[in-house]
Amino acid sequence: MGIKDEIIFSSGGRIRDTLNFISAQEFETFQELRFRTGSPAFVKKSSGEFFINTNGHITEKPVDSFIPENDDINTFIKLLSGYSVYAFEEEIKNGFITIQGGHRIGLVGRTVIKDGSISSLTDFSGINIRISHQIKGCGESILPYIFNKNQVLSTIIISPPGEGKTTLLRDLIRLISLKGKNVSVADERGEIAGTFKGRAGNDLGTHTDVMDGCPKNEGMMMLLRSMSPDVIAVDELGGGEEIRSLELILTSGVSFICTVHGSSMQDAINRIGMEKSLSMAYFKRFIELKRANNKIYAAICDENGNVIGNEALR
Amino acid sequence: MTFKIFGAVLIIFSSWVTGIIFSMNSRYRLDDIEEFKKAVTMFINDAVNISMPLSCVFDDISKRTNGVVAKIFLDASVIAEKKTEKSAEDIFKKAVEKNLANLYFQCEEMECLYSFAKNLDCPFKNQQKDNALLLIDNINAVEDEIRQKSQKEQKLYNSAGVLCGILISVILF
Repeated sequence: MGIKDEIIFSSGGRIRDTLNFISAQEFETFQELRFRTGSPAFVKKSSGEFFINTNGHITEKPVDSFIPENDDINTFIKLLSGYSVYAFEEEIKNGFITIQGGHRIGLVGRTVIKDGSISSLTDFSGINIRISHQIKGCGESILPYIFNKNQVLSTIIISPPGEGKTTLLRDLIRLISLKGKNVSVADERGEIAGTFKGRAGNDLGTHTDVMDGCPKNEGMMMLLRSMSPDVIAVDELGGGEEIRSLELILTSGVSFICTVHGSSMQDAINRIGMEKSLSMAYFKRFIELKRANNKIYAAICDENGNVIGNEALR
Repeated sequence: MTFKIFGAVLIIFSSWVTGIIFSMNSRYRLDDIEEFKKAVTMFINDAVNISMPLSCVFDDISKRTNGVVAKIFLDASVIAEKKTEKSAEDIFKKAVEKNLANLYFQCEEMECLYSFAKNLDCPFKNQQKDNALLLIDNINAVEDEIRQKSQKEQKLYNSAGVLCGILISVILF
């Protein structure tokens, strides 16, 4: 199933009708689709931001732009959830839903507060569809840096949002798995595997087990206990409980690969809230992704912060 | 004479059977409402406790219930998969309308069905559960009413059947 089919299959209403005009090849070049109530619809590509008109044409200027109404956004979300908004209560609370193929739909609307914290969202006013791309082979040039004598080195992939952290992580999982290592993935948001009805939408290799929709800290511990992994991989590592689980994993001899929002090694260490000396003792590779001239470059650093390689990813 | 007696017995027997058939209507009605109550209970488990998507919930319920209720949920599951309707309420109503000819439900039960449909679009699990539990209470009340009515009707139709048979026999004798 291509990206267009995955989005069209999941969506509905006037937004789907408009997206249906766009060709499947064009869809492959999309990074983000944004729909806001009363504003023209946008699409973000690597070459810039464009408008979507009512016939599904991509234009540089807002001519005959498709302007979604409140009802369109709400119908889209209702159909996206398969008329089961209740089933996505936990995800909606966090502001997003992940659909088949691992595409993440960010949501904004009116928050419902219960006991002082956000319990849900209603009256949706905008959506941001972040297209998940599986680029097979994008991690091949990185692989030699994270292997040492047939042992995978614990690695953090660092970049600001939208620079391809998850795409690189997904391909590294696939490549490590194809080398015969048992890789276990705690896929809390369903973005890595794109699991739908128990079947992974993305190719993660032959030796990969996926715990789908499970909170990362609990998922990592369950995988450690039950699947005897060589490597555990998670997307967007946070702090708190996740770090406590992470320390247990790293001291049990299992390698760990994760992504962290940030722009440098120091950012990543600060973000996960682990002591610098500990991070440097546990993590042996830090991969910083940066975009330049529509290309993604990876700077691979060792545990001391020394750059040991620079690679262009795509 | 023997022939006449045989004919009279035959008439009484057939009118008694007709009475039974009439009284069976409320029995079928009761069976359907029982199945629907079962379906609502399953809905709480599938939708609220397991967070299954609605089309899967409908499909699962259709497999575990019988008769026309199973058919309604099966149709609803098929319609939900197509994503042609604007809301879950529309889906369920469409499925009910499709099976209206085979339903023994009357006004009160139809209200229960439509109230179930109306609550399907609720975005919160707790609310879904509360609504479903409230609906089960309603169904129980309707069921009790039908059961009492059914017992009365059963006696009435049975006796009426036999009496009509006797009456016809007397007239024709």
